[in-house]
Amino acid sequence: MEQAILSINEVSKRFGGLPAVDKVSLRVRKGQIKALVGPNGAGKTTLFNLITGTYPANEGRIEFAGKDITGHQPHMVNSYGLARTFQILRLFDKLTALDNVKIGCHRWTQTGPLGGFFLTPKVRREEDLVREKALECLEMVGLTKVAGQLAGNLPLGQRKLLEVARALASQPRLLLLDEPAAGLNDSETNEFLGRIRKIRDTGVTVLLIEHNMNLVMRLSDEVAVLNYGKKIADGRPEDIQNNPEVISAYLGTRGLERAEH
Amino acid sequence: MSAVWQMIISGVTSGSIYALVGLGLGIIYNVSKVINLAQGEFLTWGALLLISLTGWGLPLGAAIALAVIMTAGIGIIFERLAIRPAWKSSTTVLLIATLAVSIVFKGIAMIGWGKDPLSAPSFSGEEPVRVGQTVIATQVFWVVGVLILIAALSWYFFNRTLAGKAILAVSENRDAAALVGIDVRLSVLTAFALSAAVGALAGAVIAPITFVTYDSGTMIGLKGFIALTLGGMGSIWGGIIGGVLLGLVEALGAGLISAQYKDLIAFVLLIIVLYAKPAGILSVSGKRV
Amino acid sequence: MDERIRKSISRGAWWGYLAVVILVLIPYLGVSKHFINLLTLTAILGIAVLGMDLLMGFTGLLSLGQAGFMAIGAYTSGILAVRYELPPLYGILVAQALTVVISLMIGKAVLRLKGYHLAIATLAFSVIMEQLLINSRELTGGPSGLAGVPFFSVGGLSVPTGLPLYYLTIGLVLIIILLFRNLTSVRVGRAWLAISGDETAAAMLGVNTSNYKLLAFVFAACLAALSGSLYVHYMRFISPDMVGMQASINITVMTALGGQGTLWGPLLGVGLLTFLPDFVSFTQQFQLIINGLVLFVTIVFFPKGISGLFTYVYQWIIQRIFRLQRYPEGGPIDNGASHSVHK
Repeated sequence: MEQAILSINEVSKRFGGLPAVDKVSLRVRKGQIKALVGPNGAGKTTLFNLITGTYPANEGRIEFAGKDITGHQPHMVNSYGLARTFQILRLFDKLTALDNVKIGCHRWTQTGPLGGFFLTPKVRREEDLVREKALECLEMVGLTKVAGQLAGNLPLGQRKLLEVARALASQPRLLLLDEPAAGLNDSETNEFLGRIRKIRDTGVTVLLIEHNMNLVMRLSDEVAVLNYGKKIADGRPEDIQNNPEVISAYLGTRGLERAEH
Repeated sequence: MSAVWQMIISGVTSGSIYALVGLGLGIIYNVSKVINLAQGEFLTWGALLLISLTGWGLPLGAAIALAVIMTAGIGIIFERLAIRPAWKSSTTVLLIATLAVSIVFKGIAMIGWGKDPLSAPSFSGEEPVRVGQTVIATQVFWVVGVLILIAALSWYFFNRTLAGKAILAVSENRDAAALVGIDVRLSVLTAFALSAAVGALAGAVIAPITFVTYDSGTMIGLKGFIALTLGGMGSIWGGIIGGVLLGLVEALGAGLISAQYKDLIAFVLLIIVLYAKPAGILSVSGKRV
Repeated sequence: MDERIRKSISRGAWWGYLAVVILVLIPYLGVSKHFINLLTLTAILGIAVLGMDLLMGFTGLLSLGQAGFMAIGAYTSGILAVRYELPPLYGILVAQALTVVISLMIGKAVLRLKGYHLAIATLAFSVIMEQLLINSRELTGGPSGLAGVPFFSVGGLSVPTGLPLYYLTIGLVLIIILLFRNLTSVRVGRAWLAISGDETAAAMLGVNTSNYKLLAFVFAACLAALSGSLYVHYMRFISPDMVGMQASINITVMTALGGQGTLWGPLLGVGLLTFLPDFVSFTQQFQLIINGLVLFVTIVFFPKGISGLFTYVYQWIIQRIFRLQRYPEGGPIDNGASHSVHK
């Protein structure tokens, strides 16, 4: 069996007594593309926030590459090799696209203030490397042309790609993407699909939240389904498609009934 | 023992003033997310206008009413001319814009009333009330009474009137309020007018027990800011609780430790509360912000 | 035109060289001694303001307490010089060491606050410093201040207020600008800008936000203390209100007025507030009103301050005259980004 790079065991998070994530367990294997789906409010983004340490879990254990990272702070989590994008984009709008990606290189660079004051040869070498790597990441998402533009001035599609490039720049082993294709048109979505595959082919494991089922079915090796904070299914896309509980959650037989009452 | 009572009375008096400044700041902050560094100027203007109006022979009630109405008018002009152009700016810009306005206000007050300290006669005679060995100036009853009156009126306004509820809605969520048809800009304008009126009334009632100069507003405005921070910025009532607490701690500290350390005590208290409860003493711990 | 020249014109680097030449030559252009002294004062206060710029402009932290650190510098230098007759450089060293320790402690305590809360906490620090200085009469001279501070000197060589101190401080400011221009253009500076842009995103990209905020806070404090040390030798006198609450507010105002986020902009803010009272002193009466109006108009209508206005006008001109590509506003511009755009 392939090694699990991320394994989540019985993790729960409650907000004011209401469970947002309820005893969810999840495994992501190295080198796969795994999708996390479910209706709005199912707890997908909350689960991402628990993994990345944005807020602590009430119970449960999160392991990344065999290491217990439960409750570790975001910058620590990133330093282990985990990067993410945000559903509501969090770009540095006042900086250029290239500078956004350069900040992504923070994890694997190390020069401090002293070298920075005097631009020592070591700092200059590091800067050259950062620039090269940043341009590489921009290239990978096809944004080389807009490198010098302010992130705040880019159209939505390019902003989404820029977040991916920025996350990639930290050279993660696992990349979490929160609804990366939302708001993209069909051709952009297709292009996006190709890019994610390419990223996976460079050895990065991908866990993504996505609503576009067509995209999920074509892209992912495995799909996990959350509903009301609980995991209701986990498996290959074709199995998930025929799972009655998933269908009812999605078509909303139960959901509709609840809404009506 | 009577010395401590004396301190408590003096603490409640200055605390009531801080509370009124804090309330004014809180109303504006919650509606517009602006910390109005010119809030103290409303107090100065209320006091200075009252001194002039009574000086011209107006009866006390009319003078107070006129001073409050005129200052509320200044609040409206302030919002239209100064806040609206800066509406979309960052926190820093808005903070400095109100600071700039406070400097202009001071400049105008200096031309109008000069640099000498002024004072008004007490509202109900200079003869203090004695309770046992404790001496209470009659003006103290006015100050505390005004705080209670204003607090009650504010409660009624924000909970029972449409305009008040609209302002609360804007402070909860500006976009949602706009969506249900609340005029956000009108709410902000109302908040400034109310806040200026509250400030002026506070200024009017302290005019007899303190000396007012054109630049008195700075420190008292800051004390109001501290009061609001102590109580919690997120609530309109935070300033009232924080203000009374601040006044008491200051007076007791000054009396029991040393009068030299009065300002020091206020700011040390602030640091302690900010460290222990950054969202203010009224905040519910564990609440998601 | 050669690509590099085009770029340097477009980025306005030549203005920097021109400014340096003017600053060096200005004493020989028939200006008054008073004018030179005001320029010296601008440079001295400019050091504190540069620190504030790191904090506010680059890292996005609003502080209203920088004069508290200026006070540490000024009083340490002043007391060591007057009471112990130590040379000024010792004063600076001791003050810097003290500032590092105190700013680390204060920073740890207040930096988890944000926005207005941070502003009032830092203001509280400044007021507490001022009150402590007023109340420690034996050491500080209390409210009446500390007099008889000697001129600045280096290795026994006196640097009196006037031309010598002018050149010394101008040189110092230029060096500090260069150092921080370097620092802000590489990894540390990018981390600061990231925090200022979006703290959550910065943390998720591996930036240890509390450490980097603390670093900016300590740098800003040290620069404020250095400014205080020089200030006390320039004035040859110090009292608590000179480095009190009002001074703290002024430092923040000058930074915002000049334009945060550019290292040279805030110096214009200092210059404006230093020279303005002189220009409007003809009218004692209206001085406050004019000060307030100038401040208001600048900050509200030019949120990027005087430097923002300058940049805008400059780029408008070079666009028309040289037909050069206009660089994006705001934020540091990457050296090579234009390459890919030009291709």
